[in-house]
Amino acid sequence: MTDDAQQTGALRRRWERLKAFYRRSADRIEAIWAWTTSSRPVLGSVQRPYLIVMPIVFAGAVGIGAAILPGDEERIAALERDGQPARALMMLEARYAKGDRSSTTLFNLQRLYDFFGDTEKGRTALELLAAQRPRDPVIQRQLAQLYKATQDEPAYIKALQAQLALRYSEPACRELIGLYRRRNDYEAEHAALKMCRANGYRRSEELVRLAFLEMADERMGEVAQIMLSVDDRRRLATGRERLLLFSSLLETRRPEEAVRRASRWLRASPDEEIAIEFAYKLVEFNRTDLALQLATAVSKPGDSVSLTVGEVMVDREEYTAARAFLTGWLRDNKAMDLELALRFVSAGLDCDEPALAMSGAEKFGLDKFGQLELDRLGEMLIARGFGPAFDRVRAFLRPERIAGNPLLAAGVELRAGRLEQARAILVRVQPDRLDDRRIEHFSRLVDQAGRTPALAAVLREPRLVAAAPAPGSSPLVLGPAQAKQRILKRAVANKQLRAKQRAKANQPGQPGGFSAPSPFQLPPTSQQ
Amino acid sequence: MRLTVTNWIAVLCVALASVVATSDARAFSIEFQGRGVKRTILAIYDGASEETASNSRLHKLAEMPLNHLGYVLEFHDVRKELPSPETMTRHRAVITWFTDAIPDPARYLRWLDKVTESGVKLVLLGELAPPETMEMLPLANKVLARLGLRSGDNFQELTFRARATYVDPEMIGFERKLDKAIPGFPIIERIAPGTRTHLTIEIPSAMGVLRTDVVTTGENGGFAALNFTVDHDPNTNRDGWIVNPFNFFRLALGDERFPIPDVTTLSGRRIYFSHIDGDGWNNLTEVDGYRDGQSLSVEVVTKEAIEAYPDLPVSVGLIAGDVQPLLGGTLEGIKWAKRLFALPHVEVASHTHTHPYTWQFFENYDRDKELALIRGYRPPAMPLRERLTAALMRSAGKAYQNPRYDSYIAGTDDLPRTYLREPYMIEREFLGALKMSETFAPTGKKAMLYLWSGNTTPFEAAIEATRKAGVRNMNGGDSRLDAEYPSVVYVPPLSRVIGKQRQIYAVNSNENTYTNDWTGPYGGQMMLEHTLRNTDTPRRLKGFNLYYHMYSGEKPAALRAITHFMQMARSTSVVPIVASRYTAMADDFFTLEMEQVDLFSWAVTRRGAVETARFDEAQKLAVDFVNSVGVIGETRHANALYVTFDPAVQRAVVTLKARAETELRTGAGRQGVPLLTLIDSRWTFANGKSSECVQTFTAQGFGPGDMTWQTEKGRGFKVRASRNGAVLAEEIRWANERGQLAISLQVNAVAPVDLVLSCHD
Repeated sequence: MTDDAQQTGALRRRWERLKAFYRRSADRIEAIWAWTTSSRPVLGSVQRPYLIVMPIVFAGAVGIGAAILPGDEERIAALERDGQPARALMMLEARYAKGDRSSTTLFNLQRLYDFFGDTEKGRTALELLAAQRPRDPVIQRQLAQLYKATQDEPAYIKALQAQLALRYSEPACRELIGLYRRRNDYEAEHAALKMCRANGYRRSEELVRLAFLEMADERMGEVAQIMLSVDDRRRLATGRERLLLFSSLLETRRPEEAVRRASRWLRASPDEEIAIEFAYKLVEFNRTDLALQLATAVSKPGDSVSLTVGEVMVDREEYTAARAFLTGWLRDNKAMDLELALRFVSAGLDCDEPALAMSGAEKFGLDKFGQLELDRLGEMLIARGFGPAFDRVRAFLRPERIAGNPLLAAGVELRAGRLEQARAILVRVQPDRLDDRRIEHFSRLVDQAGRTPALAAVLREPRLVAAAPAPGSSPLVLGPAQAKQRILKRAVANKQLRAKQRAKANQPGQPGGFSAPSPFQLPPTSQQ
Repeated sequence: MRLTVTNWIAVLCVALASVVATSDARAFSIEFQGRGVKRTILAIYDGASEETASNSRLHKLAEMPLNHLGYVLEFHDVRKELPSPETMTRHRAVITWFTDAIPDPARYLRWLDKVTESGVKLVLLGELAPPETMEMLPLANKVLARLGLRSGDNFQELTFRARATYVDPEMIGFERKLDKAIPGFPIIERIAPGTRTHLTIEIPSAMGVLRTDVVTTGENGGFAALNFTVDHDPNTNRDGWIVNPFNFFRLALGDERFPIPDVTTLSGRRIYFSHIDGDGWNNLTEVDGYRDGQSLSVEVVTKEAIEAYPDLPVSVGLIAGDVQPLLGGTLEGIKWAKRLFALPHVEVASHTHTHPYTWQFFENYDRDKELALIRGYRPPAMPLRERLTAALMRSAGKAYQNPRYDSYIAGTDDLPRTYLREPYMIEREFLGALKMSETFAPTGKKAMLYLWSGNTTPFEAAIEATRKAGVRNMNGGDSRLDAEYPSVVYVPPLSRVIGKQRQIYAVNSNENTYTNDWTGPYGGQMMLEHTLRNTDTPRRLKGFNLYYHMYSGEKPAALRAITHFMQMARSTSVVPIVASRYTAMADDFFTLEMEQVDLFSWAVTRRGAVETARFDEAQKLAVDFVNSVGVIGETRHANALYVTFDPAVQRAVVTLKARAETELRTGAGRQGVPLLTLIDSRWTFANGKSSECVQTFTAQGFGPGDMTWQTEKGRGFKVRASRNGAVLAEEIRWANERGQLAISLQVNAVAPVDLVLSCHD
């Protein structure tokens, strides 16, 4: 309640009392007058009637004066106006000591204690007031602010809860959720988010946060529902948010809806990296058809997304179509980087087209490849009998690299026409240490070198150990367990996507990126 | 209690050293090669995204814990030419905290490879050299291999089904736990067994379970991935550390024990100092007893908070403009300046001449631009009553002045400074302001300190001007550690470097941040108590600084808060000093040098005003006074051992030994064992001289000479304080059962006194 309202109320009451007093006094004077008139014969002997009337008038004036004397409330307000708050406080304390627990007294006490910096007493007064008026949102909010100012966080949280139980308030919701989050009370944060949402809380960032909490509990149906509502209201902004919705839709078996949303986002703001990520996700969920559809819809000839189309074709074992697509892609490609080159070479090799892979590699520049990639490429080329291409790769391979790979070393001997030496190298190969693809290379090299009984015996040896890529092996090397998911392997190198998404997630206030330090979050500052 | 393997080894070594020392100390010392302790760390930030060093994460988040551990940061913008790797050997480490793409990351990575190859540690927060292309991966992995790590070149953006499989409770969850919705993480593999993992996350994927170690430390440095260092809550707009920065930096930098220069403690006690910015000097007060007389705030503060506490020094920064009627000040203020500066416990300081708000505006000052701003500024319209008063006063031949309605006096920071009538001049703003303060002080009493105003981010030439004027400088930082700012993120480092100059931050925040920019509640500074408590334990991060403005004398609640803390300073164990002494300590923290001269012995030189060193986690260690030089005493606080140096000794040597079961001393005064060693005192000491039965010092301090010394139990001492031969106090005191000798001398020691403690058997 404001000071003005209180004063108006007090004045109104005073005025009513005054009117009542005036009416009573008028009635009495009239009665006296009537009596004196009727008693004239008796009073006829009184020579000076004013001696009777005047005291009555005087008494009336005194009475009126007494009635309009300022009450305690007016005197307290006047003292404060006159710069004597200490006296005003004394009066209020005296009233309080006599048991006055009226709202006005408590309100004024709290205000004056605050003025004098007596926090504890001010808090007691406000708590009493709040207890008296539990349904007064203004008082409840004031109490919450007092707890905040005095840094009593448990009491502050309770006050916010009480405030929200009374009436929905977006700032209170926001504050309460933030406090729970800061205290790492995720259950309470989750409950508060749901409660506030049910009451109309619609801050998108918080809803996204709720979705992430649901994700942590693996409730992907809830995630999808929340994120869909956010996306419908305002299009999801960050890659992380989009990925969450996309994944949740896949998890809840709604891939068509995921593709529809993804196409809409990507058409509005093309983002090659995230498009690829979506395509890979679809492949992961065995929906290569949708991956192809998405990649086709949002790509441009020669870009990294359209390469995904070729990769998906390879994944679907549509090799002829893939070869044709990759050839066209290479022609249209304007800017090749290592990541693209690796993906292209990998796809080229996967569809049994080493020459095509070699074209891609040379477009990028063989000197820019690492030894691991060159090793794998060289092996593939020589196994397929692309001798001149192998020689070009070999020029960039270090001797120790060749010496360390018997398939390459055998290939060098074959190119030099030294079949005996090649066979000698190949006979020492342990096939159980090779993956399926490399066994195939080995077999082809054996055929080129001449299948001697010794080499045939090596080839017939049972596979003892399931092949797995050795640490540090080339990203082009794929084990049997991975063969089906080989397209996913290519996903590991999406550096730009990561950089972009993180950059977005790191902005203060970005939901889901809660752990990123805010670059310009300053300590409290003051003007000195 | 942290008892790592390293600590146990240290304790065992100390014990062993003690045994060896008693049998053949010489042979032991010959084997040790003395070496300088490297305290400098090269902090590389990206000027493109963070603008300045003082705006960088490294400054705002990492520098305070590093300062606390004794390290000094040298900032370098990654965009500039990187220091030659050959010159980097003087650095202990390189620290980075990149989150955004840096220019030419390949160049930086090549440089980093060379530097780390030479043995300089790497403390890697966030990303290594973003954006790392695949071409850079081999080199990145070469650098990471020195940390015992390898990048899987993968970033897991969505963490669905990810689980933290190992969380080191000593390292993770310092202020914030790992978020339930685990943030995105890179796949980083630990490849060296010597590298210690503090947080491991696993996530199932199509290629099997991916494992990542996102927080690690090892002999060559440490790594904390982006999203696992500091957590930001957007709702409350507050940050908090996930990683324990003190443990992380300690381990990442080699967990080396050395005497950490400490600026929070003197004579075994927490320092107390107070300083006042002059703002509101001439404001009319609302405080009862002064209001009727239309007293100024300065009068209230002088009488209620300064003259009433002669035992608590205070540094008062006068704004020259406040006492210059030409600019808009009043003559009444001069009277109070003179009265204040005449007090022996008041240090003369300046709070600028014209009170700049926005320091950057004056780096390349343009008066025309300022005049344009003044013209655009609308002071509040003068009400009818004021106009009437002004007219009446003018008709009576009196000057009417109300700064509220003067275009050349800015009431807010909408304009670049408060007093705008004259053009800004650097000489007048610094030397002129200091001289102005001195004119109101008794002859010979010099201004010692310049207190920054406004946004407290002065430019290089401004700081240089204070140095040239021969004074220290301070302010800024706004340290808070309480429920409203619940993280050490809000405790600033010691200083801010700009170019070649250093600005010292104030130790605590002032009433402005507690009162919502002086809009109330005006008693908000009471909440300082939380920060004082939280910065004292579990580790003493800061001293006790009561910092306020003169306008606190305007409001009863604000005045009450100030006097509350002055009472607290009286009743708690502190050592009161003047503010300039603290700034000297903070300045000298950066230039102090030390050398390890033996396994548990360090020589400390160029200490300047730094008189205390600290050893953390030192419950099992004690000072070996017999083998130490220039060490007056030792005391313990929150598992740390604080060592008090004698400022008169240029090259102090502190030697540690295993702590005895009992601290009882025997043989005091004989065979090198000092007669008395200081536990704690309200005064500070220098020029210690000890013989078999007499120990003398020069002592100085504010208030009573409360002190406690360690000696043999039950031993009697005659204590005498004198100045220029005149005995000021003399008493006989006996040590208690624990050998502690408590003394309280009722002597004014603002000017140094000679203290003699002699045996009285």
